[in-house]
Amino acid sequence: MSHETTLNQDEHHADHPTGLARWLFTTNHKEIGTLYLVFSLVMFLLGGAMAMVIRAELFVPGLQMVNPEFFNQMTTMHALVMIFGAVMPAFVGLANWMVPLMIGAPDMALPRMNNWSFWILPFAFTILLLPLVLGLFGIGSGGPASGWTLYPPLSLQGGTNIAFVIFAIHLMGVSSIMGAINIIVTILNMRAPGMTLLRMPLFVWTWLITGFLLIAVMPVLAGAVTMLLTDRFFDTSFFNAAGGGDPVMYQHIFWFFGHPEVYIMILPAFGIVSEILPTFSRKPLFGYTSMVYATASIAFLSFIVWAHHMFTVGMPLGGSLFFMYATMVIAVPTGVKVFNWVSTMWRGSMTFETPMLFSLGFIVLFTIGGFSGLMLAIVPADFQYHDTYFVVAHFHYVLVTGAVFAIMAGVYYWLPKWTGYMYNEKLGKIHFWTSTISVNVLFFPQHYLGLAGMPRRIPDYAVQFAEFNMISSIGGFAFGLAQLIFVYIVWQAARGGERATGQVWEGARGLEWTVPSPAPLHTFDTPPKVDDSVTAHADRLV
Amino acid sequence: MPTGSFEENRALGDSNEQHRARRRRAIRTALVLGGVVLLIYIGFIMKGVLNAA
Repeated sequence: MSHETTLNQDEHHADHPTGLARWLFTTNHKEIGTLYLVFSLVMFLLGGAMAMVIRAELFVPGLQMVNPEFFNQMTTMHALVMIFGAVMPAFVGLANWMVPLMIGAPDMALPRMNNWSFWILPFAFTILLLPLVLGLFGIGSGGPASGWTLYPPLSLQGGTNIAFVIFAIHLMGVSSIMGAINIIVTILNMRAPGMTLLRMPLFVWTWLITGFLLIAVMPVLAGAVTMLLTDRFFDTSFFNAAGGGDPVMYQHIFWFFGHPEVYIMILPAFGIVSEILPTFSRKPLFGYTSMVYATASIAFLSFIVWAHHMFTVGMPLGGSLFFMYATMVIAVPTGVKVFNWVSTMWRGSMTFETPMLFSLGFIVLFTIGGFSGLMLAIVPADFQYHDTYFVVAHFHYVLVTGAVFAIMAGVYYWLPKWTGYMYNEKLGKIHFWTSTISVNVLFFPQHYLGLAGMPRRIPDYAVQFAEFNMISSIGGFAFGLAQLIFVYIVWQAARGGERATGQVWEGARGLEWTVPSPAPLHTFDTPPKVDDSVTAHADRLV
Repeated sequence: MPTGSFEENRALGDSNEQHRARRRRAIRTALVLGGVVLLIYIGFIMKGVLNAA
């Protein structure tokens, strides 16, 4: 690098805006990462508030708090907000912050597009939430109420709010696709000298694969909702049987997006846990290469299992068998991962700081979600479980104790690197234990409710389901309150406290730990030295 | 002001020539991926058109 260039860069560094302009026009990956994470937290609290409404209504049988139409709006919006507003942006935020640091890049490859990717999101969610908010003031027909899957013909029989949802989904898709392209291009083009693909941290690997998943399936969702839009407003008949269309085709297209989407929300979680376990076990990650192949296998398999979400629409026996067995095969690479995580900890010098606790919680509880997924994959059993609370319990174990717990683990793990201050460890542990106990009180009884036949997405239920629903709601309120501890911990760590060192954690390895805490706005002005000694899986070849 | 400009986003140790090549590669990759996205989008809508025809 020439001296002249260095001077230019320094001039840029000195001229950093403050206030709103800093956040509005930033092209810095760390600031954009922070924006994503803050946005995700706000959406997590908003989606959580909707969940509280749902659990309050279901506390006892009968209709007491909200009317059924509003209840349906809550279930629909809770899912859309949590999936597209909380979980996905949280992972993109973590990727923005950590991927350049982990691969030794000065920033993302396309920083201006990075800014745009984020700032589309607040507009998308304003549009998504607008019908619901206006409905609260008696304007319009309220928010969408057909479930987040927007199955026709139901989704086309409501008000014009479907147009808002479709436009918002398009915007979210554009944001996700641009984010994914940026992450892929950064990983493929911006790695520091010596950072070969098989030296990359697992979090980077999982995000590279997730990026390709996003590029493959977000346009599929966009195509499906575009067709919904034209069916609703332009008299086409893509999904209208009377006009020669087929509503089942929507389900096929939707789940061709929907199932890989599940892995979009869980593969980066695998990456986070694979970073944390070696640190707090003080051992290299066991089976690094097999972890990479297992992640790629899961991504591939996610494209050939979509119809397990719709066994009950009816399909040829051969189709049912194919989708059943293909789904079960996913247990193999997932099993490889769980085996490797356990082996990483085996005979390690383990300590149990909050990130490690959340990672351990992830392994145990996500595996429960995986097992209930296997049960759902069995075609005749699925005919009984389909659209019951068993499914609700299953995917909440995967997404809350899976994806959300991993995000929590990642935030606690990297928070000192972001803020320069250690978080309150005692409060972190209280947050973990209250969350873990309450989340099981919340979701475990829902397995029994489903097995007993309680359908999902209903505001009222038979009295035989009363006890488990009350227990579940109590768990829900406790889990909601526990997250306020998390908000306080993050707020406290952002304001000050015990200074964090660059290394932060004794067993941490990787380029991100070689820079000071907080990480300076511009990192790696000189090339870092990358060899096996700085990677978390250093002695994998031994 | 950080602008994500050519100079600011220079990868480590790159000469001007290497940096330009890296930028070209990055933009080319992004365009190819964007093209794939468009093809998938149009392809699935075409599937809908053919199904309803």
